Amino acid sequence: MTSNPYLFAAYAVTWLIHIGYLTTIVRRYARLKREIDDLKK
Amino acid sequence: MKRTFPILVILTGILLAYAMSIALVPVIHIGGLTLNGAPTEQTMGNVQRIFYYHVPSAWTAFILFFVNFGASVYYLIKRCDTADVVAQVTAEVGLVFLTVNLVTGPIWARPVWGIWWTWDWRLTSTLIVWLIYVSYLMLRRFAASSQTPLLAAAMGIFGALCVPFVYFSIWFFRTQHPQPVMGGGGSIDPHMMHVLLINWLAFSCFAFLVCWSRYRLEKLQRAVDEAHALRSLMDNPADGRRGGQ
Repeated sequence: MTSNPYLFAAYAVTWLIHIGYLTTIVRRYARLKREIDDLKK
Repeated sequence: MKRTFPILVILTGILLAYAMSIALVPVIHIGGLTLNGAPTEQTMGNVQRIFYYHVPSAWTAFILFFVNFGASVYYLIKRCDTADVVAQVTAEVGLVFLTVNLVTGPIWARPVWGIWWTWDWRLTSTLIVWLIYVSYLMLRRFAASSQTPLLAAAMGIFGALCVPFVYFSIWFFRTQHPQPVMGGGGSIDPHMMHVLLINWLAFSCFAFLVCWSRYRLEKLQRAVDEAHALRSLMDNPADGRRGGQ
């Protein structure tokens, strides 16, 4: 039971890594959308 | 196609939530329904539940590296742009999953072994494979040569060939790391195996969706880069003639 902080840390870090990576994908999409809009002008 | 993706996202979300619940709790009561989760391991206690994220992350990463291997070989033979995109995407997503494996490992090792890290065969070889794919993505990011996809394909093949060594390292050498739960000397409770496989399925579906959206992004990025190149050629036709000479 004393090891529960480690369990919490492992699960939290896992989702932080995945959410961080998904955020980079969303930001890249947004940047690309701006580039496409610039190209259309 | 436009509807398929959101539906798959919702289904994968439900599967991930279910997988996490059965990994964290031995028994779940929802209304009148009782679901069996992973039992608590007698020696390690609840910290052993890290296993349900640690192992599926590694398996998912290795599958993605093998897809990268297939795409790289196909690119070397056919020079197919789609294969190059698949290789790039699977390496990137695979690296994210391997990072999860490398981070959750020490968090599990600290309360169980009393140390965060040891330079044994399994841990060191996993770190080396991680560094190979970091180099692979740096090559793709910073080398602007037309030969970059070719070099990346060769590197991807080398990286994937190192993966079996990571898996079999605990068969051939004495290591701190436990034996494999599948096809090795280790054994596992059937309930634990069930939870492990559900988590692997959930992680694989999640990885597939991330690869899908990353693939679309990369295809779009390449189309935009081409459009930029065409536009600059149209704006400065003299550059194009000089380049053709």
